[in-house]
Amino acid sequence: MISETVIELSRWQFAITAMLHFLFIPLTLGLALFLALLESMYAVTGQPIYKTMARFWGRIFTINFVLAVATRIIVVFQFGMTGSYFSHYVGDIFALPLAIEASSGFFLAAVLFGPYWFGWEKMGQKQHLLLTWLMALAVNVSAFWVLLANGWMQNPVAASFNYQSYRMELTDLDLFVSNPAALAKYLHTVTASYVTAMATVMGISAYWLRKQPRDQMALKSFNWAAAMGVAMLGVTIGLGDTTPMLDHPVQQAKLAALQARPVAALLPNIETRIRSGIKAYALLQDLRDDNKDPQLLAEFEAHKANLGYAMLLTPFHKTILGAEDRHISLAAQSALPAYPGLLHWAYLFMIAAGALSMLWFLLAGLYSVVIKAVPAWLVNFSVYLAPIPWLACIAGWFVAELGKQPWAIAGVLPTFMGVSSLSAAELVVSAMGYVCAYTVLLLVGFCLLRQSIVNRNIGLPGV
Amino acid sequence: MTLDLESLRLIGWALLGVVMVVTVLCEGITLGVTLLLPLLGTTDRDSRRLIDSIAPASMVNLAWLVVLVALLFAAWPIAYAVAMASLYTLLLPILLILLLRPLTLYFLDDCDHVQWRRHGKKLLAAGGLIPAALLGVLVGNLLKGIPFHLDSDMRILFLGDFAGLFNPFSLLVAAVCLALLAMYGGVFLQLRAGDDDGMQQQTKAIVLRAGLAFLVLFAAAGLWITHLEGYHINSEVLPNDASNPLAKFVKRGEGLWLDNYEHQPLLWSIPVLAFLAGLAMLGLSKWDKAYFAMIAAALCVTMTVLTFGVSMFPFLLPSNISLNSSLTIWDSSASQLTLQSLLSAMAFALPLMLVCSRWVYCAVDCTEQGNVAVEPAEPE
Ligand code: HDD
Ligand code: HEM
Ligand code: HEM
Repeated sequence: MISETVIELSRWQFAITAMLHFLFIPLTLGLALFLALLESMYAVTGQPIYKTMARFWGRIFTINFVLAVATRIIVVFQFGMTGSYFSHYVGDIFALPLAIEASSGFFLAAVLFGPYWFGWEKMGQKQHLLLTWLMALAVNVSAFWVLLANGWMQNPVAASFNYQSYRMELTDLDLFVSNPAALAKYLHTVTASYVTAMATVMGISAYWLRKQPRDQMALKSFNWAAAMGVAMLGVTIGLGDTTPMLDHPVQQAKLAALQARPVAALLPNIETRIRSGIKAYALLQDLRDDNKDPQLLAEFEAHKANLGYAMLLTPFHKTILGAEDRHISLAAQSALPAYPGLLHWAYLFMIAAGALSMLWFLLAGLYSVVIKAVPAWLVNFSVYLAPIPWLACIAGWFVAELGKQPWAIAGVLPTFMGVSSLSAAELVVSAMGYVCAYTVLLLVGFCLLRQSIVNRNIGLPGV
Repeated sequence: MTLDLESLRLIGWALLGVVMVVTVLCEGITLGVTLLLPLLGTTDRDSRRLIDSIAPASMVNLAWLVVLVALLFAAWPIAYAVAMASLYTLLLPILLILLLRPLTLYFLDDCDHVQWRRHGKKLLAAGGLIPAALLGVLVGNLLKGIPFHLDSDMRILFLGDFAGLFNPFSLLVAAVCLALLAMYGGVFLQLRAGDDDGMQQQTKAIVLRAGLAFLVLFAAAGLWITHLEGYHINSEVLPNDASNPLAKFVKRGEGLWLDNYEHQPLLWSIPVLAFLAGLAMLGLSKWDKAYFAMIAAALCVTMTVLTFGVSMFPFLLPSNISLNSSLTIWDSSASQLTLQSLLSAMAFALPLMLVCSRWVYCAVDCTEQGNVAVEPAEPE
C-alpha cells in the first residue's frame, strides 16, 4: 500500500493545481460573453464607447485567458502524474469528454485567440465580431465537456467493471452524455461564472468611478454588468444545484451534511454494500485464475457494482478478504463525509454570498439603469463586494469536492486508491518547483492586471 | 457503422500518429524559434521580431500538445497513466516551463516588474531549450524501454531512477531533436525574414549548420538502433480481446526495432525520405528558396516522427524491467465503445482542426504584411 504521506502530498498537489486553474475560469467564461455583447452593441449602434469598452475588457480577458490556458496544461498532465491508478481505472470513461473538449471547444478558443487579439485593426468589423462570438461559444462548449467529466465523478452512470482489463468501461454513450449531475453542474457553474465576471467588471468600474464619478466608460460598464448580473444570478440561484439531490448514497450523505442532518442512518446501507463488495472481490480472484464458469461470472456481475466499497477496507484491513465486522464498520464510517460541519458552513456561505450579491446587483441595477445615478456609498461598496461571488464559486467547488470524499469517483474508486506510486521525495521536490513557478505566474499576472486597470488609457486613443 | 476492435485500435494508432506529427510540426515552430532566441535575438528589435513571428499562433501550437495528451489518455488510458507517472521527473521541468512560456510570449514587454524585465527573456529562451531537449530524452527512453512494472491489479510501479533516464542513447536522441527543431525553426524564420538581409543571412547560416548536424546525428542514431535492444511480442496477438497488457509475452533483442522494416521493406522509404528531405532543405535554403525549404523541412520533421512511430509499432511503451508489462496498441486501448465514440468525434474534428491551424498561420502572415506591426492594444 502507498504511504500516507504520498497520498496526502498527491492529493494536495492535485487539489492545488486544479484550484489554481479554476481561479481564472469564471472570468474567462463570463468576459467572453460580455465582450461579444459589447462588440455587437458597437456594430449595431456605432458608438465608439462600446469599442473602447470591448478593447479594455478584451485586454483583461486576454490576460486571464493566457493564465487559464497555462494553468490548464498542468491539469492535463496531472491526472496521470499524481493519479495514475485513477487514470487507468476510469480513463476509459473520464478521458473521453476531455479528449472531445480538447479537440472542440478548447481548440477553437485557442485558434481564435491569436486573431482576436492581433486582428483588431486588420480584420473587418464583422469578421472580428463573428470571431468574438465564436470564442465565447467555444469556451462555453469547452466548459460543458469538462463538467461532463467532473459530473460523472459525482454520479458515475453508464459504467461497469470489466474483470479482464481490470477497470471501469463505458456501457452507454447516450446515458453518459445526458448525466443529470453534469447538466445541473453545467448550468449552475456557467451562470455562476457569468455572475462572477460581472461582479468583477462592476468592482473595477466602481474603482474608476471613485476617482472620476463621470467616467463614461466606467458608468456604462457598471450599467451593463449590473443588468447582466441580476439575470444570471437569478438563474444561478433558481437552479441551485441538484447534484446532491441524486439518488446516490454518496450524494445523500453529502446532502445530509449540507443540511446538518445526522448521517448515521446511511451506515447500514454502506455496510451492506461493503459486504457485497467483499464478495465481488473474492469472486474476482477466482475469475482471474482463469475460471470462466458462467455461474461464477453471473454471481460476480451481481456484486461487482460494489467493488469500490470493498476498496474502502484497505486502510483497515489490507487484504480486503477476511475482513471482520469491526473493520467493516470502520470502513463504513470512513465513507461518510469527514467534516460535515465544514461542509455545512461552506454551503451556508455560498447561499449567503448569493443573497448578498443579489441585493447588491438589484441595488446597482436600480440606481444605474433606472435612476441613472449611482450614489457614492454604492460605488464604495461595489469595490469591496466584487470578490464575493468569486468566493462563492470557490465555496461551491469546495462543497462539491470535499462532500464527495473519500471518493474520487462516487462509490467507485476511493481517492486514496487513485494516486500514483511516486516517492515522497519526488513529490516534495516537485511541490517546490510548483511553488516557484506558480508564484512567478501569479505575480506577473497580478502585475499585468493591476497595470491595465490603473492606467487603463494606455494605448486606447480617445478614452 | 460499427468496426471491430482490431480496426479501431489500428485507426486509433494512425490518428495518434497524425496528431503527433502535426503537434511536432506546430509546436516545433514555437520551440525552434525560441531555441534560436539567444543566437538571433541579441538586440531588442530582433528578439521582438522573433516573438512577433510566433506569438499569434503559439496558442494553437500548444493546443495541439493538449490534444495529443488528451487523445492518448482517452484512447490508451493505461499508456497515458504509465507515461505520466513513470516519467514524472522528466515531465515536471517541461510543464513548469510551459506554464510560464505563454506569459513570456505575450507579455514580455508589458509588465513593469523589475525582475520580470530582467529575466523574462531568459525564461523564454529556456522555454525552448528545456522542453526540446527533454522531449528528446523522453523519446530516447521510449525506444530503450522504461523501467516500469504492472502488478496484477494494474498498479504502476516505476523501478528506475531519474539519472538513469539520461543514458547515452537518450542524450543522442535529445541532440537529434535539438538539431531538428533548430533547423526547422530557422527555416521558418528565414521564410518570415523577408527582405531583411542581416537577419536572413544570419538565419541561413544557422539553418545550414543545424541541418548538417541533424543529418549526421540522425544517421548516427539510425546506426545505433541496429544494435539497440528492441522489443517483440512473442506470443499470439489477439487484437480483438479486452485490453490486458499482462496477457502476452514479450522478448527483447538486439536490432528488433528493425523488424517492421524487414517484414515491410517499403517502410524503409520513411527514414530515407527524412534524410533526403533534410538534404533538399539544405540546398533550398542555401539558394534562398525559403518557401520550398520550409516544405522540405516540414517533410523532414514529419518523416523523422514517423520513423520513430513505425519502428515502435505495435508498442506504445515497452518496459525494460518487466517485459510482459510492455504496453502495445492491442492490449492497452480503451474499450470498443469509447474508441468508437472517440474516433467518430475526431473524424469530424480533425479536418476542422487542420484547416483552422493552417488558417491561423495565414492570418498571422497577413498581419505581418498588413498595417499592424505589433499588438495594437498598447503602443507606448
Ligand atoms: C465552468 C467551467 C470550468 C470549471 C469549473 C473548471 N474548468 Fe477546467 N476548463 C474549463 C472550464 C472549467 C475550460 C474553459 O473549458 C478550459 C479552460 C481553458 C480552456 O480553454 O478550457 C478548461 C480546461 C480543463 C481541462 C483540460 C481538459 C483536457 O484534458 O483537455 C481539465 C482537465 C480541466 N479543465 C479540469 C479542471 C479542474 C481540475 C478544475 C477545478 C478546479 C476545473 N477544470 C475547473
Ligand atoms: C443561493 C443559492 C445557491 C444554492 C442553493 C447553491 C447550491 C449549490 C450546491 C448544493 C452545490 C454543490 C453541488 C455538488 O455537491 O455537486 C453548489 C455548487 C456550486 N455553487 Fe452554488 N448555490 C447557490 C449560489 C451560488 C452562487 C451565488 C455561486 C457563485 C456565484 C455559486 C457557485 C457554485 C459553484 C461554482 C459550485 C461548484 C460546481 C458544482 O458542483 O455544480 N453558487 N451550489
Ligand atoms: C475548484 C474546483 C475544484 C476543487 C477545489 C477540487 C478539489 C479537489 C480536491 C481537494 C481533491 C482531492 C481530495 C482530497 O484531498 O481529499 C479532488 C480530487 C479530484 N478532483 Fe477535484 N476539485 C475541483 C474541480 C475538479 C474538476 C473540474 C475535475 C475534473 C475535470 C476534478 C477532478 C478531480 C479528480 C480526478 C480528483 C481525484 C484526484 C486523485 O485521484 O488523486 N476536480 N478535487
